[in-house]
This record gives sequence, C-alpha cells and structure tokens, in this order.
Amino acid sequence: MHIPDGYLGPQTYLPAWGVMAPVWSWASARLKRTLRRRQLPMMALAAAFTFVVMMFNVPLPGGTSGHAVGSVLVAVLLGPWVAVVAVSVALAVQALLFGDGGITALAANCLTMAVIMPFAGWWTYGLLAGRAGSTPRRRALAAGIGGYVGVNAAALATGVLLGIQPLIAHDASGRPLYCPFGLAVAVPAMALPHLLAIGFVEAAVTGLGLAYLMRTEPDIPIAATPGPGNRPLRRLAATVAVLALLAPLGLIAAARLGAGTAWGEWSAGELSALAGRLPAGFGRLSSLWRAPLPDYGPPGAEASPMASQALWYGVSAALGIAAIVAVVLALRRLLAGKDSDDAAP
Amino acid sequence: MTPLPEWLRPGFAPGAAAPRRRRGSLRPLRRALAALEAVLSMLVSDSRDDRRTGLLRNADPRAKLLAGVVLIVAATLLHGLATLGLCLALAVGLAAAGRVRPVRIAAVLGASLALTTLVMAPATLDVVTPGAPVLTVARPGGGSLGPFRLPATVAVTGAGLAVAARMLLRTSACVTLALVLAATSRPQELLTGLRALGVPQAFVMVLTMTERYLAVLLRAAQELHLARLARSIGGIGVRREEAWAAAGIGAVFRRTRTLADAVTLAMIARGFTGEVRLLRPPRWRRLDWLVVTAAALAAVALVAADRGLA
Repeated sequence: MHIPDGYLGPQTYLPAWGVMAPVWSWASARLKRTLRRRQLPMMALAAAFTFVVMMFNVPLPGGTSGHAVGSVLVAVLLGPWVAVVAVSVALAVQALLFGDGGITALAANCLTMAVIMPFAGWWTYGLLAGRAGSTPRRRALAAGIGGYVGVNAAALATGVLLGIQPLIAHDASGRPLYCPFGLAVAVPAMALPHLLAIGFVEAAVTGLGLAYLMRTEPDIPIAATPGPGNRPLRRLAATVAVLALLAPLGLIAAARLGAGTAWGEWSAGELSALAGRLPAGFGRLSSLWRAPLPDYGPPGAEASPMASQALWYGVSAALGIAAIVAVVLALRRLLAGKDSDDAAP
Repeated sequence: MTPLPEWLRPGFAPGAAAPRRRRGSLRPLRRALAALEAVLSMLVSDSRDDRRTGLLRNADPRAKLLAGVVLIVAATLLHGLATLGLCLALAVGLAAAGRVRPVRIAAVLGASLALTTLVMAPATLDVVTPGAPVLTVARPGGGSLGPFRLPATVAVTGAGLAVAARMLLRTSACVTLALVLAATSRPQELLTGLRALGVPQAFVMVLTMTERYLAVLLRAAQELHLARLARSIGGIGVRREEAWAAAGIGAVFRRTRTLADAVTLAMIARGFTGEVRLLRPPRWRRLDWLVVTAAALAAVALVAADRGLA
C-alpha cells in the first residue's frame, strides 16, 4: 500500500501535504493535552511498535503470507490520535531510511494508512464493541472487523489516489503523466486483494492481538472502549440527522445553477439523448432492477415542484440511514448472541 | 525415520531464506526472520558507504536532505524521456561520486526496475493505453466472455511503451536519489536533518527516539521468532500460525508499554519537564550551501530543459 515516488503528480501530493499538515498539528496538540510528559516516549515506542508489526509475516490459506499495518490495533489500544502520529512517524522512518514508500508521496501514504485506516477501524470497533462491560470475545471480534474495515478503507483511498492520476495529469494527446491506470483499474486492483486476502490478515492481527492482551493483561487500558459517560452514538446520530436535513441543498443548488445530471450517472433515456444512441448492453442491463425510489423519489417526482422534490430527497436520506442502521443493529445482535454463548457455563 | 529439525542440522542459519524443497509451513517465519535481521543490521551497524572518501562525506545531513528532496521533487516534475534519463544519470553519478557501493546501487535499482516493470506491463497494452500497435501479443478474436466484450487483438502500443518508460525512469531516479541520502548519512543524522525542512522539534525528537528504540523492539521480535523456530519441527496450521503471530505482536506491545514507562521515568529523572530540546545544530559551512545551491540549479535546469524540449 506504500505509494512510491513518481506515481503521484504534484497535483495530488501537494494537496496531500496540505491536508496532513493541520492533521499532524491537531494530533500533536491534542496529545499534548492528554499524554503530557509520557507523550514523547509513548509516541516513539508506539511508532517503533507499528514498524515491528509490519515485520510479522502472517500465513494465509493457500500457502502465501502477508503482513499487517497495525494502525487499527494501535488506535484501539492507544487511541486514534496516537495512531495518527505513531504510524506517520513509522512511515517517515520507512521512507527515509529504508526506501519503502516515497518521500514526496509520504503525506499521501500517511493520509491513507495513518488517518483513514485507524479512524475507520476505531469507529467500527466503537460501534460494535459496545460498552465497557462487553465480553472480551465481543471486543476482539469488533477489533478484528475494525481491522478489516480499516485496511480496506485505506486500500480504497490508495486506489482512488492512483486512479485519478490519468484524469488530472495528462499531456496534450491525453497520455497519462503519472500512474497510467484509471479508477476502473486502480480501484479494483487495490480493493480486491485487500477484500479477499490482506483484510483477513489485518483482522487476525488486530482481533487476536487484542484477545491475547486482554487474556494475559486483563487490566490493560483500551483507548477505544467507551466509558459510561461517553455517548458516541448520540453524537453520531445528531451529525447524521444534520447531514440528512442538509442533503436537499445539493439538489436545490444544482437546479438554481442549471446543472444537469452528474457526469456518468445518466439514465438510459439521458444517455440515449446525449450520445445519439443507446449501447445494447446498457439497454439490457439498465432494466434488470427497478429501484423503489428511483432518483430519490417516487416515479414521476422529478416533474413535481422543487419543494416536493427536496422533501422526497430528505425522506430518501432518512430511509437510507434507517436501512444502514438496521444492518448494523443486526450485526450487533449477532455479536451480542455470541456474548451470551460465552456467558453460559 | 523422523528427520532432525532444521535448527539441529549443521550449518543452520536462522535468517537464511527458506529452502525451496521444504514444505512452506515455516517459510513465513523464516522470511520474517530474514527481514528482521536485515533491518537490524542496517540500524545497529554504521550503514554509511562513504566513511573515508566520497563527494558528500563532509556535507551536513541537513544540506544533503534538502538537496535530495529538491532533486526528487524535480524528478516528479519531469515528463520528457530525455530529461528523465538525464535525471537518472545524475542520480547514478551522485551515487558513484558519493562512493555508494555498486552492489547496493544495482540491488536497489534492480528491485525498483523489476517492480515497476511488473506494475507497468499492462499499461503498454492497447486495452489500457490506446495507440499505434507495435507488437501483437494475443488474438482473442473478439466475441464476449460473460458480460465482457473481448477485443480482436491485444497489442503493445508505442504510446503505452512511452508511458511505461516514463514511469520506469522517474521511479528509478527517485529511488536512486533516496539511496544516495540513506547511504551517505547515519540514520540519526538524517532524521535530525528534518529540522532544515521545517519539521517541528517534537516530531524530530519522536523520530530520533523511534529510530533509537526500534532496534530494541526488533530484537524482541527477533527473539520471539527464533524461540518459535527453535521449538518447531513442522508447521502447526494456518490458524495456529496466525494466533502465534498475533500473540507475538501482543507480547511486543507489552514490551513497548514497559519500555515507554521506563524511558519516561529515566527522562524525568534526568530533568525532562515535557519541553523538547535538541542539541543546537552546527552552523552551515560553505560546502553545505554549495551542495544545496548545486542541487537547486540542477533541478531548475532539468525542469527548464524538460519544458523547453516538451
């Protein structure tokens, strides 16, 4: 997942440095408040630990092996902001001393492996692990799933960073100047191995590593365990509700500015009107599935007034959120079922 | 008759690559050991190639780092094959003048070329980079495979070769420049030199401490692997191997916490109050300014030539 120098153009690596500079500044300021004098040695040792985690070869079924990144394990054990700094430092040491990952691409690598990965994994863990009283097995399972989600989110982000290069950097004849593979190639090339193999290595290392620590050191403080006073779900629900209320703004702005359908999201009718013909495969496949709320409203709603369309947009957002919450709750119920099995004598 | 375990045989080398004829169950373990030994030997020994002679031996690491980053950034801005070739030649020339061992240059360049060639091979084909065909490599004959439509022929294109060559030259130049930095400076000096690039003191201190304690944790991981190998005759199955790796990582984390507490107490005992202080770096000399100015001029010349040629 380490992007070397030369694969990303300055149009990508400079904004990545621009994004990471305030993130590093925020992370170190936040840690200064929480870790105080222990900050420096703990940071340094956590970075060294992350480096060592990447040296453990973990066997996979089929005779091959891979290594984990360890960001999610560090995030679960020490907190996501510690993971941001520790993994960034480990990546800097790898790039400068061992040539693993580029120097210009360092910020992009930190964005994917030191920010996106630990936060995606940490949030997943927080959502599935439940309160502090939950059983070790449930927490280890949640950490494993967090590791899987985290590494796949990072791989997807890496695929996107590589895949946008032909779009944003090409010569007069359209030939790519940097990574020549577009999103259609780069995203599956990064996502599939992580979904099918490497994600399971990360899940095993994160889940089993946490399980080992909880078994051998039962009083070990785990940063991501929500305390009785914390209500992360309530905050998340409020944020999602605000975003759902703001969702119709995009629709209204597009109508005001006279913008058409987003590029590449055309319906069969729109594509036929734009291109002058409808590709046979598109025509055949576009009628395979009829969505219950096409274009976020009942059929024919696009001809109704803007206020009505905006209302349907909000309703669609609420329904979408409800569906996702239902899936997550079902997953929680499944994990909670395993808890009750553990509790049985 | 049960064969002797590997570690009891004469000539056993724990970090050596796993022999091909044996079953693969212990190979991840031995591969990890080999990697651990390689990293450890680089960290604990003086990895500088230019201790006695070499163009850059007397230059300040801050100047070398600044010059190296300027040249690497310039390499990422070049697009013409001629200027990229010139940049690679400059990087190899710098490595030779800096007395970097030819074996080390060949190993790093060879690995970079092999990996980039492998990744870029599909980009030479007309299915990724359309253009005038140079060599037909397959004739699927058209038709369809499930939902996918097959092309009549698959050919290497001139445009695809140009794209792949550009990536090969650029990545090779960048990797060689990074090698010059790593091979002509001690790790500690190189990390301290980050101050010259505006990296905050606290980060530099964390980086230098990471480099210092990395060897301790790597040694702990190496001991874990050796202990496991010394007690193994054959494989124990993928699930138990995974559980062992996770337990090993857990053990290293416990060591990390213990060491962090010990280091904190030691630092506090020596008067550490949380304020970061680094040794005042030496003043820049004429040679350091010369190195940075030469790198900046070379970078500007390369980019100007590239834009002019384009």
